Amino acid sequence: MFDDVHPGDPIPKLAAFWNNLKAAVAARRLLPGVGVRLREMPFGTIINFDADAAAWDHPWRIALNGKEATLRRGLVDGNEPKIGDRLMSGDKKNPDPPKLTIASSRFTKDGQSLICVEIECDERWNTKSAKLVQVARLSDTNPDSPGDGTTPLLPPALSGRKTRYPLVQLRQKESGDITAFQIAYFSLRHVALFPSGTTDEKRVRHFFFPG
Amino acid sequence: MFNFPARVYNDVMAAIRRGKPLRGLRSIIRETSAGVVVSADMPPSDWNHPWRLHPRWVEDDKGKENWNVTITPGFVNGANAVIGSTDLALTTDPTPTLKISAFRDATGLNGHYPALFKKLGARKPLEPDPALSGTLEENAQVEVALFPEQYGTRRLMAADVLLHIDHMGIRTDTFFADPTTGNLVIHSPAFTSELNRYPYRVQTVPEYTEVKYPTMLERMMGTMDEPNFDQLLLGTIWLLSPSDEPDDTQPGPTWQPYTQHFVFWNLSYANVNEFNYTNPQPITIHTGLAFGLLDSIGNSMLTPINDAYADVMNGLNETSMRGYFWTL
Repeated sequence: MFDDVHPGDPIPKLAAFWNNLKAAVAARRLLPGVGVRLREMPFGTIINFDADAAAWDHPWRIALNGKEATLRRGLVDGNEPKIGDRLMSGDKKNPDPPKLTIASSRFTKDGQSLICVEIECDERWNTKSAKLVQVARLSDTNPDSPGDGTTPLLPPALSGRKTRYPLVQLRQKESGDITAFQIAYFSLRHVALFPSGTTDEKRVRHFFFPG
Repeated sequence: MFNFPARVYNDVMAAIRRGKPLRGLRSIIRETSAGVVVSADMPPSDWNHPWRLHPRWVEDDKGKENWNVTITPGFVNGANAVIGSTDLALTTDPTPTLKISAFRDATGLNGHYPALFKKLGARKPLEPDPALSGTLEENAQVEVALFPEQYGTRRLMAADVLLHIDHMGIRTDTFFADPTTGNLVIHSPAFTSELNRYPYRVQTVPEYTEVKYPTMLERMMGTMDEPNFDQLLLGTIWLLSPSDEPDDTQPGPTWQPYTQHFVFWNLSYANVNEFNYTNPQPITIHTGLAFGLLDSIGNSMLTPINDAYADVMNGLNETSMRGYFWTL
């Protein structure tokens, strides 16, 4: 930093002084590091320490708000799932991400429910479309009337070349509070395989991988 | 003539000096020519990953205290894993605990442990008495340490926590056939049923051993007996004793727990699920000579070839219910 000057001291190189002054001011500019958000205002800079920034905002991360859930954008084979008829991250017309309403009828008797991505495959078993659904059990054909069947060991082969993979498990306590347990942390890739010697669609095996 | 008052200059510089960000609580300041980077210095968030083990010394229902472990819920194919004889899901509220009923002595005979525990003062694992393990041969080389390694006097006990998955297995059943049909001994794959209806359960064992699947030779020899379960090591609970702990004591509340994890993500799992067996047609002779008697004799002579052919086909078919894990 510069030394103090006294009245009468010469300023032999005004340009050099000005450049040094500019550099000193520039070096004082605040820049945001990890976990910090800065807001520059005409009268100063507001520094916010964002504790949540350290947490990982991964795909499919759920945020529960009462009976509504939003999930961070995730992809299945590059397809963004929809909630209802809107993309899960929102769109240009309405950038607010749509909310998935948690239906209390879609819980098992012991208080479990799943938020799944349900995909539909084309005739070559590539992912054609994806949507988010809440079901009591993975294999429930009609989510609004959950069955009492056992939990399938693999993603089920549903009619219409569809299958589901669970993203979040919801657990309803006796008090009615719902706790969410994250299952998927990455976007997904899907592969459909037939057991050798068959092309029966009912026997197709669906596999999901991080992708 | 341009006049720049010294007072103004000093005021400007003082303002710049006053603007210097100084490090306070939980902040990191890094000065660069382009500016000052301000970062939050928060403790690293301790991510409570799936399958994370939390060892605890707790009292059980009968008032007896034991080392137990609670587990951050993990999922297999999106389904719950369960613990205990009552199949309590890991997501049950309150969190269910799993009792560690048996330990291995990592500082006992032929014990082994990660190098970290040596630094923490674990004692050297006991070694077999050389007097009992044979005599040295002539000209045998003996290593003599000039600087003996420094060990502590703390004992170390361990238990492994594993994910156990029941599934059907494949075994080879042996049948004896009429040799005149071309086969004498037929090895045929058959299912071994699973032990539990609910497949995914977490258990503790003193020491995990990898599940052994039949080799190709065993498949071809007709001695295949696949395990009807798969296991995956989730983690190890290490318990380090206070100094100079006697040999015969079990881990108590004064022992320090450490966890070593091997799985950090939820899992997918699938069986090979191949049951391709088709009984290969034996090579037979149909000449009709001597009223078919020569055919029978010839077919009997072909039985070793046909039996071996069937065994090879069994092996190559790789009929299996073996399972594989991958993280998701």
